[in-house]
Amino acid sequence: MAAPKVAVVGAGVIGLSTALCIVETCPSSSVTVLSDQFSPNTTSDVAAGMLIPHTYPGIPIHVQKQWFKETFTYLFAISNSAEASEAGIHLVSGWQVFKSTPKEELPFWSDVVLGFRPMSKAELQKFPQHRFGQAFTTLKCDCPPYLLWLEKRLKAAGVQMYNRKVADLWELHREYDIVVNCTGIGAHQLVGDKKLFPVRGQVLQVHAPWVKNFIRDGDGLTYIYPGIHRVTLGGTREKESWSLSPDPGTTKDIFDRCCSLEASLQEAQDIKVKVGLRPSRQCVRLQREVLSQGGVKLPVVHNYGHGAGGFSVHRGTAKEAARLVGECIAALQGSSSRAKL
Amino acid sequence: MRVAVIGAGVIGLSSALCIHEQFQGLVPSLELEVYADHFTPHTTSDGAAGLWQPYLSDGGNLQETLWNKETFDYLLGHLHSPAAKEMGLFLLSGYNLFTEPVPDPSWKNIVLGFRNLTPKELELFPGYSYGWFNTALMLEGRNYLPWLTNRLTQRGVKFFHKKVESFQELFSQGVDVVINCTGMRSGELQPDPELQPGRGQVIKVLAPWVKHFIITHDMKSGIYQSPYIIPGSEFTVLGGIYQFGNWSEENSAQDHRTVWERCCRLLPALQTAKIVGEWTGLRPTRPQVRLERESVRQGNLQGEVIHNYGHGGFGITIHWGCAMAAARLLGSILQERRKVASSPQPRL
Repeated sequence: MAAPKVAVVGAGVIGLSTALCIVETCPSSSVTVLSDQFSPNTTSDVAAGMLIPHTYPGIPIHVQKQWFKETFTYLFAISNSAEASEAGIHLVSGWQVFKSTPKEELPFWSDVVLGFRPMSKAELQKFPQHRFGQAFTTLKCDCPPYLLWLEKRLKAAGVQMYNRKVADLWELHREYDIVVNCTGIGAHQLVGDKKLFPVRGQVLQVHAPWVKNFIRDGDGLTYIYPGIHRVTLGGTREKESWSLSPDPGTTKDIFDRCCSLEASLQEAQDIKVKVGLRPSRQCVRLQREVLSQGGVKLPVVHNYGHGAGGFSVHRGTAKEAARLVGECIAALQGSSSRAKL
Repeated sequence: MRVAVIGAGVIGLSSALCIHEQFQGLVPSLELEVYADHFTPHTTSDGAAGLWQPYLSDGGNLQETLWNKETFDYLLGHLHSPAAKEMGLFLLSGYNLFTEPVPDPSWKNIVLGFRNLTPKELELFPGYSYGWFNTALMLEGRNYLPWLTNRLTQRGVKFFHKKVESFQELFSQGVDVVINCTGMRSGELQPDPELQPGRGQVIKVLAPWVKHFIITHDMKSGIYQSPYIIPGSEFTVLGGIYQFGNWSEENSAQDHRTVWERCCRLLPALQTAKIVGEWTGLRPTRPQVRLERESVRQGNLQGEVIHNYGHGGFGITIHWGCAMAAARLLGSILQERRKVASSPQPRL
């Protein structure tokens, strides 16, 4: 068959990184990105982009670790290159602190990040309400820069990107041979996945350039993540809330919680409030499916449901999705050559 | 009792504040004045990046190590105060890099979380095979000096914009004790062949993605002659120049190239950083800090001088320990003159 036409639906970190992996591993294909939102209006743009994994209850740990390791290695190389500032990738060190010692003192990712070790007594003195902590160095993907950098690489590889609202994957069957569904929370409506639910997160992005270290409470609710130009203060985890409107009471609560971890944030300026809906699921939906109507088939690869861990595993899941696209291409070529017989 | 501080860099202003805090209540007649021909932002302290880090080896000088520790602990105690941001004080983590294993420094237990670098971390720095990671403090002169000035002004300390030509000049005006914090130009008040410039040149860039200090070391060349990168609250300082005996305060094009090329090799992304300034300063270098009393007499003019100069490239690192030591020396003088009301020597 002629160059297989692949449509990637979704232009957040998952859609763009998946499109890039497909370009890299399936060079014969022609890839197009379709999305109703591009940076700076995607869910990814709200996220701080810290490489600290979220644990998915429904995925074996060794798989999650593999995805995280692939992502970390990929970004580590970029952070070390001349493109680091354009791509928005930078190293950041800091502390994860716990009010009570966690059951698991060594998370599965402790040997992937850099320099992981328990905090010393002297370091813990800075956090009088916390009794235990971990110090490490990890990577941060600032958005929009990272998404814009991915878009630039895609354009350079000949990938077209269109602003288009896809109401039904089937509508793409005439123009495309394979569809890759990276629609994040949009999949709830697009493919009717009831196992996918939003976990609402509100964050503050503030000007506080003297904050150079990250601080995260082990409960995952309160965190301070210094980005290139702004520090992200978070956050909330509101299951099943679909509201994208910032809540002023929540803003004050986040600010107070972060100031109790880092007093100097009282002097933070120019507070911007953002909301994102984490596309949450027991496990990432990373699988092939074949849609068919009236004898016509449309292979689909799903890659959505990354919840709070999108940035941490994006490259790993993108590579897996690209591999599945490769399988779809092989299957199509197999059946088309059978059709010739 | 008139006490005059000469010099308004970090040493002069902090000595003045420490003295005023310690003695103002105990010595009601204390009049404290600061004399300087340069004030912030035109002092040597203003150009320094502001990283708390002593030299690699204390050369057996335990006194200086103690003063460094006192300074770190004092600053750490202020981290949570509302004044921290105004002071230009914040935590900063980072890397010290070497081409061979070296002994641990005297300050390893002073800073936070000191450890060796892992092999994976060293992959970030080709050419370096050994290193340390730790969390230290930044105290930016361009914020700290104005903060000190405000505290002193609030306390009623008087400032005089004038170049003092001799200790006698002040004694003849009725000053009882001079605190000599004149840094590089101390030799103009009293010749000191041990005091020499350690010329440094830095490039200031906008590189807000850099969140760590990176200091490389070339054990053969000596301190500060190997590239370093120190991110501040507004810009990042690139450096790596130390020229002993060079008095030139002009920026040199060759030194600019040296710093720029070496730092870009260390951190390739710097090539896209925007240069926003360049600065040359003279580190007031001495085999050890001169911190001692001296009775100075000329004709019928006599007075006490407390010298506090020669802090090289570690002025900010050591300043508070030295300020407290200078205040203790003043305390001795006050005791001798029975200027202090009958109370025990204040605990400093």
